[in-house]
Amino acid sequence: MDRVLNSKRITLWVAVAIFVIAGVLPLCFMLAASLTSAANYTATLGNPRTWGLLRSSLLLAMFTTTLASLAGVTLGIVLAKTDLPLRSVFAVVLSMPLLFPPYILAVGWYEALGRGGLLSQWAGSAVGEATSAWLFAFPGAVLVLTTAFLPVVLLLTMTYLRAVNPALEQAARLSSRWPAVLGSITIPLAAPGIVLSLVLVFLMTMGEFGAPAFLRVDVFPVASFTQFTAFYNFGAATAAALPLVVVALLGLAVEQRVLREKTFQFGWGLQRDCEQVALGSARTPLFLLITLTSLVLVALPLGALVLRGLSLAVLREALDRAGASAIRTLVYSAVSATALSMLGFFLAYLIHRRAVAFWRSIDAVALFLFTLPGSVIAIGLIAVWNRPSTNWIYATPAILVTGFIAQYAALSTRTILAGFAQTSPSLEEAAEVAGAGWFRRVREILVPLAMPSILVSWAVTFLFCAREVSLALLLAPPGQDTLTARTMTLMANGSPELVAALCLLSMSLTAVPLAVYGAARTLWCKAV
Amino acid sequence: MSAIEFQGVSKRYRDRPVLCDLSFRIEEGERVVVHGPSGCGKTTVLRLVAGFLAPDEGKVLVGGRVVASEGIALIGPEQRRLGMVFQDLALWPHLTVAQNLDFALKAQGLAGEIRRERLSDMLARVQLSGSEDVYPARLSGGQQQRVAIARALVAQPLAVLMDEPLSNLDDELRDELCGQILDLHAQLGFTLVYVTHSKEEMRRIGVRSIRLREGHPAGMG
Repeated sequence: MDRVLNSKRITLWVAVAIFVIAGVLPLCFMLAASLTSAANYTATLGNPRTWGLLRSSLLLAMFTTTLASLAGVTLGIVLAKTDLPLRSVFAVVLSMPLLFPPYILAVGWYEALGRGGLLSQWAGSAVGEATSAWLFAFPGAVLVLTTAFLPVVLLLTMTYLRAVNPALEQAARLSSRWPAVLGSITIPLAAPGIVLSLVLVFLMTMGEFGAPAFLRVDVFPVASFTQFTAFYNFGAATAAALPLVVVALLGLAVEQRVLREKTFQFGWGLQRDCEQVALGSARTPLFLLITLTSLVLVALPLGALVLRGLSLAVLREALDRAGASAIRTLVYSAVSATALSMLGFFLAYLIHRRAVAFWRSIDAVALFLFTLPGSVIAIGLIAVWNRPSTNWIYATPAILVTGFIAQYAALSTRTILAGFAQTSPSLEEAAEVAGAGWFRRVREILVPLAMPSILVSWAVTFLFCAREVSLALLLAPPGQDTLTARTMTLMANGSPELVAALCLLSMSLTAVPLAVYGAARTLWCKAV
Repeated sequence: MSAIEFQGVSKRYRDRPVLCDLSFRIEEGERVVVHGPSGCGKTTVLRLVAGFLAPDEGKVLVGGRVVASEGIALIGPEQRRLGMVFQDLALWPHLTVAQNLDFALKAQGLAGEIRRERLSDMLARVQLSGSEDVYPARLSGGQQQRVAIARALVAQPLAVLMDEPLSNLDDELRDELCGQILDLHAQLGFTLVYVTHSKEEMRRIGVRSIRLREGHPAGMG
């Protein structure tokens, strides 16, 4: 019995140790490094430019969050709760921007609205000049990031709305029409999910580096990034990262407060039939409006990219110059997704069964790391591993995989946790009573039961690793860059056609494996 | 005028028939128990009356009006003037006891003073005075059951539908709440359609019963 308990405990503690080494240690090192001299803080935080950039980032995050929430929540309600035709297709199309880093969308919008873009060719160069000036400024950055992060609000709103117990809505329908039911019952019950999505969009915008850099909009993450890459001033870079850490902590506090006090609506996996609002005469106008929205927000920028980059000669050049990076991206992302799913499995088990006293802290820290900008995590990891004795990690792709583990542990843990929440602990206890040891229970009971969520976790983390920019730019060893980093580098001196082709390559790198995964999963589900 | 009437109602889920050519009539103020084995279509009967489903064939009448006919719901649930106690109670967890009850009263457009009177009267009837500002999660199982019953009754509906409301309670509490439902019926005189598979509840609650077997009427008593 002791041996069984020990092997379980050891496994879980190893998982905790990996998580701490990958994610917590870098933050501690970073903080310690920045505290070596108060000059780091006085020079960085005493500089008016720092606060100007912070103000600019906060404004960008506020505008983006407001627009993404208005559009995302409305679309989420329509697509999750009504009888609109083709709503699943719309949900997939409107979620597509989540597959790519935001800077690809920025390039897409440039191909649509910039000089020489689609609009310019159609309406004349004067119009193109005007829209280009608008795009390469604050409003353009808001547009691009709203398009990029709208899927976060849309998907979380839809998920939480569908998790509301239909009986609660039916009880309200006995006395009120749908608008009142949605306003008083459904939306308040789904509010924690909506608030979570807004917090995430706000923090993701705050930490976004690629799209604002492409659009030449000065934002705060650039300050930390520049201190590090241009001047290699480590202390100043960490001091410049501090306000981002504080904003992420505030966002996390909001999320924890909202979710911890309102956990009543969770009904994941109960396979309830979702109540649907009959749109009646509003069906056709809404269908047309959402078709138009999908065309403008998704088809226009991505279509413009395809038009610019889809030529055999240019695609061949893109493959020549970045083919190796594309293969590396696939390998790193697959390895990281596998590691994240394994780690996520044990951390989710630990949280679900409350196996250690600080299970809640692990969940909170993982979410905090997810909301931190990649550049901050990267600087922390460099502080830990950039020394001769650990060069076997720092000078190899292992450092990048470590960065992915730190940043995305929350994604795999929470996804697999949702899977555990649908299974009763008694299933494992029955195996334990039957004499199965810890590893046999993991292999024959826990993993098969959680397999659907493990597969989802793998797909989601693969996607996020493949689209990551900041970690890839700062952590990939020389000659080992990923496609996103390579594309960012080639943007500076490549032709628009080549840049568009590289973006298409990036898009196919995430879209094709996910489409294959989706098809395989559908076939497997049908077969089972 | 009948409170509720089914005329040749049939209902299928996908290709599986759940109700076949069901006809019955429930008069105003009557207490009727719908019973039968699991999966015989008891809950479907309530959902057809409430308006959450429409019959594939036949007509459903509430208060003498045809509310659904041949696959089409003609009148929405909110216009049928019904109250319902769900099997899992479906108390809104983000609203207090008073807010749970007030939801239906507000929908009727009643003035604040009248709503407050009705609300406190109903809470007194179910012995929950003083619990107005409490959230459902803070109440015991029996108290939650009484809130659900009060919510179904507070808007003075034409009929109250109860879907196995006492199935999750112990014998003692079930006995107590059965008595309370009968007392409320005696005081308020509402029409009651009560679904159960418990013979004890059927004996105590029902003046008349409709027995279903595999979607067919297997007897009325």
